[in-house]
Amino acid sequence: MKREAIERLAIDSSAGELNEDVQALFDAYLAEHPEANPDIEEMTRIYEETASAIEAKTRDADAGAGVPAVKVNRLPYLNWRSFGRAAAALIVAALIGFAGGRWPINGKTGRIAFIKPERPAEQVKTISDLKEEYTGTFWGDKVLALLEQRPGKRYKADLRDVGFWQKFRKEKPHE
Amino acid sequence: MRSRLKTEFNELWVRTAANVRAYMFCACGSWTDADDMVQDCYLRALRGWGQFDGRASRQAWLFGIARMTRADWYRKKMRKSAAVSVANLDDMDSGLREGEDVNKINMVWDAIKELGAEQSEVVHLRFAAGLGYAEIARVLGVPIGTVRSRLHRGLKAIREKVKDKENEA
Repeated sequence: MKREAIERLAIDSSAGELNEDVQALFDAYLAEHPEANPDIEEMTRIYEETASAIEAKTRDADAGAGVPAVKVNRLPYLNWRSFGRAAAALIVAALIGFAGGRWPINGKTGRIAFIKPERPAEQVKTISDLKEEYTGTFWGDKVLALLEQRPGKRYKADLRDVGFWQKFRKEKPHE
Repeated sequence: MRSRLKTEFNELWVRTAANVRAYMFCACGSWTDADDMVQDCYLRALRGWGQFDGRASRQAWLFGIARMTRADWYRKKMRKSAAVSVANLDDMDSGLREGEDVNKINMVWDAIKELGAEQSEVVHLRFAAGLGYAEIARVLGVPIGTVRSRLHRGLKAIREKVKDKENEA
């Protein structure tokens, strides 16, 4: 047997990776060929030294038990049963809300109407109208000077009689 | 289902944590980094628990993840700094016991670090992770014969390097 093959078998034997039959044959061969023993011993020694060195350097790894284990109480996967229950509750609540909203009361359904405040024609003013009102005040002069740069445009007068929220008020038609 | 997963995961943790930690330490030489990698590795294992196909042992499957985690760590570290050294650690002899040949251990350890990537991977999986040939083959995705020859070549290289160091001394 070649030295290379003997060394390989020696490593496998040290690693416990030879099956019983092969181990028995190997032992028988070594018994018949004592000249191979130094090679075997050398490889066995380096195998053991390597194992010892790594064991010595990583000895603290046994303290690995001190490393907190990953908490498995809260698992990062979806619990389908809880999810299904929550989804079903949401769907039922939405259906009840929708049905309640659509149910007619006194024969009238709850339709929403948007009421636009009427804007009388006289409230639409030209620049000349605005001039009469605002000339003479500090900011009025400045604003009018700016407006005059765009002479063709008509400006809506402010709707002081209609409150701010009034413009967005939603009312039911029967009110 | 959840309690079963919890039990299985805890069993795997108890059986493998020290070996995974040692395997990670061999890559980085720092317990702090090793612990980070261990945590990352087990989180990945937990997330991919259902992907285990049963073709190999759970342990081999876990070390496949550990290997990927280690490679990612190394890649990140290389990006941050070009000099990744596991040699410059002051506290590495702290775990040695009385009567142990510190010089010999350091010589062998240095020789292991000088091995090529393929050989050192097999040596780490064999001696730090404590895996058998079949499991190493599964982790690396190579035939058992390849594992055998890489280990053989690795040990021979260690032997030569140790001899050189002894002659220098």
